[in-house]
Amino acid sequence: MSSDQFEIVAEVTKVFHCANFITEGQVYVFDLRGVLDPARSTAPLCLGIIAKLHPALLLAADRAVSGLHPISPSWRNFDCFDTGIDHGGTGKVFVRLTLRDRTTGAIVEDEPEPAC
Amino acid sequence: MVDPYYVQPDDKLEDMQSQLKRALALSDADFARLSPEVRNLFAARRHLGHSWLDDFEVVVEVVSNPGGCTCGVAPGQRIVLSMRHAIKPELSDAPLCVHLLSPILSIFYMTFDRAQEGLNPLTPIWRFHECPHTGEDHGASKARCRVYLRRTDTHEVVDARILPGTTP
Repeated sequence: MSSDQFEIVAEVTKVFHCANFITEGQVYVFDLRGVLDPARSTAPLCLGIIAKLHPALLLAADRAVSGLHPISPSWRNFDCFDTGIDHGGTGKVFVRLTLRDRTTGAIVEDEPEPAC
Repeated sequence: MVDPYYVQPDDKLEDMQSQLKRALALSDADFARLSPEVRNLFAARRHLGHSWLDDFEVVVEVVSNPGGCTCGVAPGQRIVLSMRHAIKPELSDAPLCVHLLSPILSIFYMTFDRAQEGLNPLTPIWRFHECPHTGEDHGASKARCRVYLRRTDTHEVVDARILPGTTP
């Protein structure tokens, strides 16, 4: 899989009481090396969620070089480091990862979840 | 017994409650649910001023990258973050490599903790960070960076332990 052909999109799926005013539907766009593209990202670039995605980006790179779909079917939903108002924190941001073709903008179909 | 320095159980942060409710979309019920730890965090404004989160910014400056990474970071490049740990892309000229950036979040746990104590929010200890990509050369070629605090308006570097005009 060419590392330049695809990009990882983390779309905000839910948010509450966020001090950086992130809103649902905004996105973060990363290349498969783990570099964030600020020009194509629409969400405030909060390190509280970006850093939380670091293991996911390592995982995606590992899967890509192994010829697998970069987005693991088991690890594609993440949330930020703030624990949220009911758990000793304040806000919370949730994202869902997808793979997108950089040229066409088409979303690459998810790998099916493994059967239990 | 609650440390007298910390926010007391009956301290409802009346002096900043309306601003916080408005900024964070907190209802009265939400505000009542805030933990003492989070109220301690907000009470940092009493020490450093109500605008401290906007008065300063954290700069991550790349100091070396002798060849270990391919993301393109180079010595002298910077990534600038707000005190709410959001990257300011308009002030940053380094590639936003998440591998180099993710350790920086720990800086901000310390900034909030230190601000609540009335200190310069930037740690005087953990100011050097590095990419986690070690390689076979035992990390000799990995990217490394240093972190400093500066004023948002003048870009003056801020090193004083107690910030001028503040009350620890």
